[in-house]
Amino acid sequence: MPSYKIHPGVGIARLGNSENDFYLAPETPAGRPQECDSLGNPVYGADGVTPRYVAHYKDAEGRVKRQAARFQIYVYDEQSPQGRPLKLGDRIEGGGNTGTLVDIRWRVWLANKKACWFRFNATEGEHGYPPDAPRRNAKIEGDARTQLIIDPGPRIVNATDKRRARFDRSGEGAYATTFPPQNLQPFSIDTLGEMMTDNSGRLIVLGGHGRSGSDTRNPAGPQIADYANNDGWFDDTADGPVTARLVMFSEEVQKLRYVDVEYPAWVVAGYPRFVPEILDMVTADDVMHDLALRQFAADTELYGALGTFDDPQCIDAHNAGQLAHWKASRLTWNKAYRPWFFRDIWPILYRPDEFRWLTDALGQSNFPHDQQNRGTFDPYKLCVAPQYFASQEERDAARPQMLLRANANQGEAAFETARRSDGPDAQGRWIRDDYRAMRTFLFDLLRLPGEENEFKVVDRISSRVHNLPLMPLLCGDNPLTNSAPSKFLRLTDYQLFILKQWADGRFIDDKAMGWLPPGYSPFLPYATIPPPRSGRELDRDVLSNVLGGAFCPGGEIGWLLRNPSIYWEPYRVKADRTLSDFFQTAAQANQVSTGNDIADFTYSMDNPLSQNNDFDTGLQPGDLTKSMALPWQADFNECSTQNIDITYADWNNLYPESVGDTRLAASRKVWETLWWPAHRPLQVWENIGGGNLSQLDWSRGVPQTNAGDLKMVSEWSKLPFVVPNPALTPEQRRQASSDLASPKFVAAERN
Amino acid sequence: MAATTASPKSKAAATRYAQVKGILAAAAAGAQADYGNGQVAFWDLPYADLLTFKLFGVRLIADVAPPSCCASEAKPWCRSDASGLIRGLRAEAPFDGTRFPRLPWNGKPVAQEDIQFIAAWIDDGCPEDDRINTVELAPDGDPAIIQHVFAREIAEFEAISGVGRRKGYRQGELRQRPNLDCMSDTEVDQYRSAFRAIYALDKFPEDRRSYNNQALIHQNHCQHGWERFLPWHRAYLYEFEQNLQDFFPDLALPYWDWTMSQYWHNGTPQDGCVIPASFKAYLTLPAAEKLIDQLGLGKQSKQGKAFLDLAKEHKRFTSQHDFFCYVINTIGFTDVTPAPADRNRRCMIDALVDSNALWYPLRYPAEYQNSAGQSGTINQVIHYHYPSPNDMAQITGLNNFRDFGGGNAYNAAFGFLDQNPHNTMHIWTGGMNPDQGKSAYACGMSALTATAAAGDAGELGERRNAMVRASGRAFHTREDMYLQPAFGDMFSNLTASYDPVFWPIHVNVDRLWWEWQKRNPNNEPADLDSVLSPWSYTIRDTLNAERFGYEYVRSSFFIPVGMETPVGRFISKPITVNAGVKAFTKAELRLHWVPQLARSCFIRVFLNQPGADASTPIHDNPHYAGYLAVFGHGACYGGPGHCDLPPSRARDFDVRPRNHNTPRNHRIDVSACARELLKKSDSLQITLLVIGVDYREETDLLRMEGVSLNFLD
Repeated sequence: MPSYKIHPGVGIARLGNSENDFYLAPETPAGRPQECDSLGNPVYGADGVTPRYVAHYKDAEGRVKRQAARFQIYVYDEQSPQGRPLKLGDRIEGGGNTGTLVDIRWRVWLANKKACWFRFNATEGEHGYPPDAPRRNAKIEGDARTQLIIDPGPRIVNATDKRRARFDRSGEGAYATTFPPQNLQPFSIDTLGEMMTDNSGRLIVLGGHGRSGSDTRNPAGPQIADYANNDGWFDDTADGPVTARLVMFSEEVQKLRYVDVEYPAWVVAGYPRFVPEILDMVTADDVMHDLALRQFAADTELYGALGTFDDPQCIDAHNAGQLAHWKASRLTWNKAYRPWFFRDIWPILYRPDEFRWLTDALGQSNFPHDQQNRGTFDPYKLCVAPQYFASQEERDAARPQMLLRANANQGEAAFETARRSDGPDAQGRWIRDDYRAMRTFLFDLLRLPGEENEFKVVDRISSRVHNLPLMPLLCGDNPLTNSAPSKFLRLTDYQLFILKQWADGRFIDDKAMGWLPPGYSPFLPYATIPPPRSGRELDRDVLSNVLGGAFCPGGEIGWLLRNPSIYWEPYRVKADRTLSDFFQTAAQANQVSTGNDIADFTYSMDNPLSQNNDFDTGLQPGDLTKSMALPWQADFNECSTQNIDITYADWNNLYPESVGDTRLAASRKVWETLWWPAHRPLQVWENIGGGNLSQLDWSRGVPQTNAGDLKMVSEWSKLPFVVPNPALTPEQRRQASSDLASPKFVAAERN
Repeated sequence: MAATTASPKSKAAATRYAQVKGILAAAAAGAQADYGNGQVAFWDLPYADLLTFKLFGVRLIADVAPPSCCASEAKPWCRSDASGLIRGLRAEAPFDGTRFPRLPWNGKPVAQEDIQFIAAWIDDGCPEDDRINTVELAPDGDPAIIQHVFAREIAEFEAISGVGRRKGYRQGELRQRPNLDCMSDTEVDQYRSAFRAIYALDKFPEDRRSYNNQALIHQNHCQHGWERFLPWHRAYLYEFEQNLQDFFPDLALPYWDWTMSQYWHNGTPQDGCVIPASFKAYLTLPAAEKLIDQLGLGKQSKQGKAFLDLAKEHKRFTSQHDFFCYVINTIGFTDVTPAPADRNRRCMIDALVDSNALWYPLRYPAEYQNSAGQSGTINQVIHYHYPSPNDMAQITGLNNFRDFGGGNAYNAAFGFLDQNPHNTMHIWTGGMNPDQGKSAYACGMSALTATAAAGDAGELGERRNAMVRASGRAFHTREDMYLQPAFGDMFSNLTASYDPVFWPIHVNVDRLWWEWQKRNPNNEPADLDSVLSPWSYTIRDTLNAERFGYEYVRSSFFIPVGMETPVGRFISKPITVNAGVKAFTKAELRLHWVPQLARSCFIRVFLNQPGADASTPIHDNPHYAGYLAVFGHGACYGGPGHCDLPPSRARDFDVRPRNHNTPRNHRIDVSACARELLKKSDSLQITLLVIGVDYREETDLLRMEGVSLNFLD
């Protein structure tokens, strides 16, 4: 029996101040967005197959184009247990009917609840808010707070006669919308975006225009006083549920019949991604994948109860009792699991070196993640798996003449290798594992769970990692307050597990195995396979372009992303279905067939969108993004670097003056730490005329002050996008990033 | 046996082991692959090594012993399925590209037929040299399994004859609502008697127990098209069932599973059984004798004999149109017209109503005509289609109550269960009267001839309530039974419950909800506090069907034992299990009213192995169905009477907790064993062994009121 699901489970639209121009969200990791026409139909090259990727991120007037989130329906049946895209004209069945798919109705409800939500204060609220937690706009009380929610109501489009709808003040005559006053400064908000269908019936959702404004009647004009909470302000980011109803013509009864998809999807309209082709150190997909494994028993052969890996348990994540029982068992990672180096390990190790194109900090440290010159991250050495021999003679015969010590590229690693004792292992096997020390060196520098507030490795005097900073050396969820501090970012448990397996030699060199796709280069490591892909691959790849940490509050979505309570299943947000679903059931539509049931009826709603969360019921429109900074430009501007106080692990703020502690004041230590350069660049290579490139400040002219935050409200659209250097040949792009004279990424389209 | 079927002739000379190696080598030809530490071709390993070879921790040939638990009921454990080699060749996890690529690595995919050949070799125990066997086994030779059964002389217990179901339920025991088509004739007759009992009350208009007053509740209060549909009807069925139990305390309302093959009929339901046989028109002998008298036909006349033969053969008719056409065309009795006043027609309607209390004249199942009077199917005329088993799977697969059972907004939130199968079954059984307004029976062609009818009947299904008039009717009077309305009473909510077929349809709807609730335990209607008039139940009150005292059991066989003496070994007579029952999802053996046992024991269940004893193996024995462990009560430490059996019902005002010595009921799931055995057999014979803690049989321990074998949907 087939089921129909919307993919991606979470789709990402992005703001842009261009009136009409937009492109399609990337559907591969670090993929370039795809060009489309004004209806969202993808544009192809001359051969009609090769997608044409976006050439300009700004329109002819220099305004930032919007990014459309695209949703499509996959069918899951015996023929395609992993799902395949459903097309108009396909046979479908459901609700006791069979027919030909003639139309798809999409229903989306966007809202922005930021102005009514709690003031964002680092980690406060991640596990519930205390009774006295302050709200934004606390002076507005009672029913008037409803006006703080930007709620255009639901909209419906189909693939035939109603292909476009706008999330504007009109409510399309079917809803009582709530919008902020029309005189916001500097920009008022009249829409949260629009939706349409392309010629294949896929849904295209566009977000707002990046308009943020304040209604404070302050004679000094609009002011910004905080990175995340500014009373009186609104912005036009949004999120909400997406559902679909399949319309079939039943030949059997010669009538239209309707069936809904299995569960709604979700759309998030976040701010622009100025570096679309470089991934964050931890992506939203990394977070979700880890959550799926450890909270939803998604792969019990990889993470499950001790002693069950040979015969993995089948846990139904929808069965709360079964899942709770599983979680109460002795859960652990399967030590026999072997990650693949180039598929699983290398994409993690590859990421930090790319930040050299987004900040000058790495160059000032002589490129610690370098793959070739310094060689600490040389994939061709890190990929080599241990080999086992029955005797020392066999092992030595296989060993190349070249002594490791002689290879300068390996620096300290070679020294460590040479020092290792050279005898058979417990099973009497002679091991040849030339690069083990290089692997363990990298692993030993990783920040492990519980070390979020540790700055560097201590107490390993005899080790070469002693006193080195732990990695990643990026800001954590709370480097700001003394309440549940979390100064530095760490990788997910899953990432750390597979890296540990790799460091220990339990991995597969997929290159040597011949399992890599043809034409693979480790310096273009992400999947570029064009559609069709499985629904889950689409879910994952779309989220891989979204920030997965640190969350303070973060980029598109905050720490809410990590909360298992908000999911119906992995990659699918639990929706309040009284709001997400079509008001009229599909069965009712079958029953009445009045023809004009595309209009949505909301008259029966007897409560406005909630000011609170109810995870038991599910999320409402606006709930996924409401804790993010208001306006988004304030936090965006300030999330360049952070001076993190590392004097004491458990404290972010010290007050030595209050106790007259001059010793403490004199011994304070701070580390200026990057936030997430792939979401908010700092220095970029830019053409300074005559084809000469220089590394310049990306947001020059916008200071890191409150006044700068206010300037960013109108300045963001002038900033350049960071794109692959068009001067490089395809062959140069396939090489390691070592030549600063020809950077791989450069800034383009600065206004 | 799979052993020989997959062997291609050209390979017959080689052992299958050699052929397996050949298949793998051919697929891997020219490919570079490293199967761990330089192993290039694992199939070339020495035989013994191959059987235990692990490819990065994955056993390529699974061990013989199945895993101790977790063997799925739907798919029994199978060695080849568990073998990494077969999974790898099929590109199944972990060889689906997540952990490893398809086997052989970097080689060509192996053909399905060859994979099947290798799988069969593994399932046959990976024989190293099996050429002799290959020759000697006949192509489909399944060597007979010789059982050496030495049954002791132990009395066999027999299922209750006639009514297979439990009688005299104990306090608190749930009534079993049965599948109508799995009921015995005796059970169906009791069901008919119950209807007759409350029809008889119709002449007392003020008696709330009468059929008409029960039906009137639906006309006045019924809830459809939103979330109250299921809760309201659950309460309605309960009230009606209680009303019947006032007359027949053991009766539980049967359900009509309309997707059974005799109805669905492979997609042509109009050619199938159409409605349950027990609801069809037929003549009993006394009714036929009275009828031929009234028609002035002699018992010896040709036509009189033909009417009597009808009764003797129990020939059944789906609708009155069918019956009258048979009378005219086959019996040759032509003095009858469709006019409501026609005397002979009235006599025949009387005879049919007297014969079967479940038949109802104002019912025209599967009969439809378009506005031009042409016959058509429900699809053509009504634009509805009969619910298929797949339709029901789709609907019961929905994951929220609003879609399944309806939402809380009236007139916008039909649930699929309500809309599709429920409405369709009303229209299916109600039908359109082919004789309405006709001066003569048109029997030249069947009402269901496949004349393609133009679909111009508008939204008949959608406007079904506008069609039937309830005013001016005197329901269940004979005058009413003679009417020739355009639509059957089931067509409309206003009249539907006057037709007794209303009940098994709605009981089945309730059963579908009951089963769906088990799979979706926290999925509830929105307005739980809403009252369901005309009663005082709220929606919340209806969520737990157990409080209404029933469960659904497709079929049940109760075998009385009696508590007077202990049972050493219990052996039932073979219980015949018909094809309809065989499609069960769960088979459950229940031990009823078992007093506390003095000593602890196991009770082992064997099916179709009457000679089983304490030494009969329980591993690798397809007849072993399961066991139950009973904790012994131990010696009584109280005075005289302390551990006597309590009275079967508590005294008035005795509201203390249950007596510690109240007999227990036990259940054992025997689904897997029963399902396998019923593939080859049409009967099941139950053997229960009481095994003491010393693993020997206990013959004077177990006492019980009876044993039942229950088949659940």
